[in-house]
Amino acid sequence: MTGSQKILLTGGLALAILGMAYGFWYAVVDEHPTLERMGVSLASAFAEVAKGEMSQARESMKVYGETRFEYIREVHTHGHLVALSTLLLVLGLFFNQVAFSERIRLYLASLLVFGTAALPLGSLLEIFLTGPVPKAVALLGSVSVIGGLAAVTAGLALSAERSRWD
Amino acid sequence: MSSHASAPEFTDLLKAADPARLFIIGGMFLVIAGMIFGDLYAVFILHPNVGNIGREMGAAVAAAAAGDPDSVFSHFGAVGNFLENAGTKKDAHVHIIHAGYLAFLLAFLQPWVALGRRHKVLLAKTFLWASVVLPVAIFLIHYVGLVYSPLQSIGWASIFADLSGLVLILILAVELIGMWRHMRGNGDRDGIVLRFDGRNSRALLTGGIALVLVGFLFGAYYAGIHLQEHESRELIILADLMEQASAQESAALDQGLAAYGGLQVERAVMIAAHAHVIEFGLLALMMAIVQPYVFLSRVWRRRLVWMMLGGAVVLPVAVYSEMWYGLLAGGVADFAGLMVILALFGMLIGVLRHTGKVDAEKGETS
Repeated sequence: MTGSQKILLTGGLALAILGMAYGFWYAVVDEHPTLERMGVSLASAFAEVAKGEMSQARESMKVYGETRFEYIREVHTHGHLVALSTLLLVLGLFFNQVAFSERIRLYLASLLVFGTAALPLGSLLEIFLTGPVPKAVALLGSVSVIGGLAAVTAGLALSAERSRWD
Repeated sequence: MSSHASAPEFTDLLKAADPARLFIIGGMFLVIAGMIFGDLYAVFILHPNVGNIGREMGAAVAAAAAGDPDSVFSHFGAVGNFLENAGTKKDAHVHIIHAGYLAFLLAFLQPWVALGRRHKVLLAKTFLWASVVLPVAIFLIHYVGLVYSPLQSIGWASIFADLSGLVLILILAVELIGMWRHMRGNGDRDGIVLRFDGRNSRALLTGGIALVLVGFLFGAYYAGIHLQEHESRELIILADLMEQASAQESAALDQGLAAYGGLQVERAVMIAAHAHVIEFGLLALMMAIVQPYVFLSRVWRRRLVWMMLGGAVVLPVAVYSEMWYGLLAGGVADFAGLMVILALFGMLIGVLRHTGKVDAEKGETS
């Protein structure tokens, strides 16, 4: 196993564990109250319309919007962390086939692991922080993963070119 | 191009009762089961549910306009029920496939996991059992509800789903410790050298990476352009519906409900297209690794590879086209899903034949 493979495989497995642990915590602690709050606030908003209490209805709708915003990002965090970790593990298995020097492969592997951690982190931060920081973190993660994968593609194409497949 | 026979490392990896064999075959079974379930979910649950949710939502808004709050809660309760029915099935579909992916990948990590063979076999069996219990428990959440539950908001099915998820996490942690031990000089130093089956593996690798890249770019486009716009549009539509219900403007209510339904479809197909193109890309990458060990004729291996790639390209495009072509595109997507399932099933048969060949060569068959 090369150094870059070690980074991808251990990084991928560790981040997969983190993503699943977050999903476990979320399912046990937060998911049911969040779904409950979302459903009740939406139904309450229209029930209050029926009673003619429009200001109360708008308040309930605001709670629904905030809860849904939080719910979507929590699910994104879990889903993206696990899916991107799976990609790290797959790439790690054949990363030695990428036709770059091991030094460049080490950079690429680190970039991919960083992107895999940063993208869901940015999504999660949007729940707690306003302003550009969460979006910047997610964007940085997204660019790292897409750029890293594009480089891997180029490396594999070069590898095929040099007939190093067998 | 390497031939089927030129894979001694993998042959070792697939010896009888080896954890790698359990992980590979179990993982492929899980992915196939998850995909079949996904196709059934799309045909029998997803599409009828969209109509049911729209109907109940319309009834809830009409009840608000009629000044009947009890009826509003009743109809929104029905909406929640339909959403839970569809949501738990979608979650079961996603979780069984991802557990299968992880099992498949763990197979190839086994030579780098410095643990005793008996422990590794036990871990593999436990992982596969937990991978079966997790989606089954998620599926049952809607039906079991809170019956006999010791907790206020979590039922027995959720408890079993959470526990099986915890088991999977613990097993992955132990596998990671095993890899750490290997890096510190413990265990077998040979490892594995992956072999690629020439053109078939190359087609799957190229197709897989292209699909994942397209999926990422589409995801970035969705997140940058549509995610927040969809969120704010939903709140605007709902706020308008409240005002229209208060003013009892029935014609405007119908328009608002149609806009709300359209938004839900738009969001669902974009997310589904993004998710499926990446999932199929990952699957193609994994199948590239397993190609030299699919013990079938060259012609059939090639057919299965192109069937898989064809389905993997058509399904996300068809899902995305549902915005304009509705159920027709949905039918094409279901058919493309079937193509991927059949291709994967064919490859699984090839792997099973390969293990049989290995056993026969070792004289282990009865």
